[in-house]
Amino acid sequence: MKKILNMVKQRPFLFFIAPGALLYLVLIIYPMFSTFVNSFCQWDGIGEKLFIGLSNFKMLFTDPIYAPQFLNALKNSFIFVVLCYIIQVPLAFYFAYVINRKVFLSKTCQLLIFMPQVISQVAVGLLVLLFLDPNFGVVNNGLRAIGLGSWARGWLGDPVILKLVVAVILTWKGIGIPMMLLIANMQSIPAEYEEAAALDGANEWNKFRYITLPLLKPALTNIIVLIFINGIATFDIPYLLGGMNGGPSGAIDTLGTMFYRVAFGSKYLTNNMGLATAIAVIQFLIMVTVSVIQISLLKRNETEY
Amino acid sequence: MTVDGVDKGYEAIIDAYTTAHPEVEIEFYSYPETDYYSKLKSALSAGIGPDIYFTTGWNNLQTFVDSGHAENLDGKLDVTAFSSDALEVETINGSLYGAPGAYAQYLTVFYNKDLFEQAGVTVPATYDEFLKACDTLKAKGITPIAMGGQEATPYMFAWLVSCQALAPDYFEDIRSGKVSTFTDERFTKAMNAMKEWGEAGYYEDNYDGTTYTAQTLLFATGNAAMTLTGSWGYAEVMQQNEEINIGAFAFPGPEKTYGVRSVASGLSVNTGSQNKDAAIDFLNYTCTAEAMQTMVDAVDGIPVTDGVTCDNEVMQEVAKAPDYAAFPNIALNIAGTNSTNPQDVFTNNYLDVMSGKIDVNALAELMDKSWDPAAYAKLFQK
Repeated sequence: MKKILNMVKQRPFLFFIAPGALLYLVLIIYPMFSTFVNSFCQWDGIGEKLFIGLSNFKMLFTDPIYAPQFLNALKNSFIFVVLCYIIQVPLAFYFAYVINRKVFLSKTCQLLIFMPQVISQVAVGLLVLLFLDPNFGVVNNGLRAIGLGSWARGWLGDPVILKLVVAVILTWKGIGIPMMLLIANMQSIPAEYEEAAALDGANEWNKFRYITLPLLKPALTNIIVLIFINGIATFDIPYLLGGMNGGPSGAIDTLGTMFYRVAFGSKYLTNNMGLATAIAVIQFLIMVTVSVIQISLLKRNETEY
Repeated sequence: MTVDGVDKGYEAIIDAYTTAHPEVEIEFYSYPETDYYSKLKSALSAGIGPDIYFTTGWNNLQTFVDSGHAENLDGKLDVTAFSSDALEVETINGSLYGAPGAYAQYLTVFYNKDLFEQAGVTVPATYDEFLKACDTLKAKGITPIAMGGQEATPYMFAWLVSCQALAPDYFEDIRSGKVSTFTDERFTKAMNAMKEWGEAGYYEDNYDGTTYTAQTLLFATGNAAMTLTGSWGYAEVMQQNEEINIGAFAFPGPEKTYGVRSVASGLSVNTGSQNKDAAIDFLNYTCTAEAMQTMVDAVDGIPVTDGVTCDNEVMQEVAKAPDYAAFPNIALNIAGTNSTNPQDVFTNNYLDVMSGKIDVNALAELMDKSWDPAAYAKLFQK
């Protein structure tokens, strides 16, 4: 006992982290553990818990009612992540580079590009619903007003368009933080490297490719992992635009909306918490696996200066 | 709870009760439907649940009876004034577990009287007349039916409104246990009706992009002649446009018009409550004509017992439906398997039927897989 007290006295930081650690344990670690345990049980949220081993996981891949929904949700989550990567990463680089060059109005642009990050997702979703309404919305009525009425359609009812709309909103919302990370990292690159390169006859593109880009690899690692984690867990926008059932033909059904539907969504309380927590566990495993792979692959290529 | 009116109704009832019984104090909490059940379940499992709580009866109440959180009220409530279909809602495993509600929900078609007059259409008395009315309205440039085709819920409402009328004997067979499959031709034909209406052009343009809220708005602003919904839809329409001149009729079948209704549910008592006697006394009060009149006035509802009246003209029209039967979905959502039920399967997949991805027979087969006929029979055991 005295030995422990001595150990603690010599490490005063333990007192400082204790309250935070306790909160973290109770509010995050315990629920995670509890979720994990629930995924092996059959439970409707209020009755008894029945241990059924891996049946929930099996059901997600083989049950005629749930498997198609789950595989569709998985596919959609990955599609959104890939779309986010394709659009956000190059755009973030471009914006960061231009803003770093301190062109005219760069500070204003920085603010405007970052602003969507802090706007409420719910507000955005509801506004988009209003804009795209086929009878009362701005988009269709605007098209009719300028004579392009034939282009007016039920935007929200078309699976492909709905997917694109969600991808655009996610990108628009999510580009702020990657851009800021890149700007911060770019600003910490000493100017001498670029000046030396310029003296050696390098043009803008070469400077960017051989000096800026390699030195941004740590930031790139962070961005790639962040975009993946946010993308795979996306819930708010798909829920607002497509409802609990993921829109027409489950076009924007993601792991998040499927979880919500299975856990809380039944109007008649045939909820299956066990199945829902199985979905959550699978989502968690995907996030962890992919993030670990990404970090280990990208860390190898980082350059020190 | 759900719509605003219900909140006001309960608050008024509680006011009246506590004025008459000043030693009793009642705290009233109301939550949006989506959050309500998760909160209730967590509170009850943790042992800190309320003394009295609301359920929608049927298998919602069954969940709480099975988990041991609903008090058996046999013999403790004075329910002589209620009809058998009112009591059915709260009777689980043969015993009464909740106080029946004060009003009934009816499935109905609301129609815009002005638009009907403009097109020279009268209220249809048969299904053929209904289709002809839609054709006439369409020819006159008026959208016959408002449909929020982006979501499955409007289709579900439309289907509940129409399928009993289109397949009445099928529902009788399901209820009596003669039939226990959804792949029956009478049923799949009724399920397909909404797709046929879409193909005939009875919905507004681009209906596949319209949400349920927009559907209500379309009807409320006079841009569509009819909307298929339930008596709850009246408050939704009035909220958008109080000036509108509407009426209601029950959906007409090929030979006979069936009214479809379900009695709203009421309150149950928590087995873990410390104040059971007081709770039961309050529940008894909610079953009196006085309390029920308060609720009916607050929600513009349709009464279910004698001695209670509704002044609203539109709702009186809604209630004129002959030969009402219980909501057809009672057959469908009750007694699902452990993880789903037929109505949820319908809701999750009907949009695929509309887009042509699957046909109604495939949907019926999926619904079969999610249904437990034995448990359904048990629920109707008296």
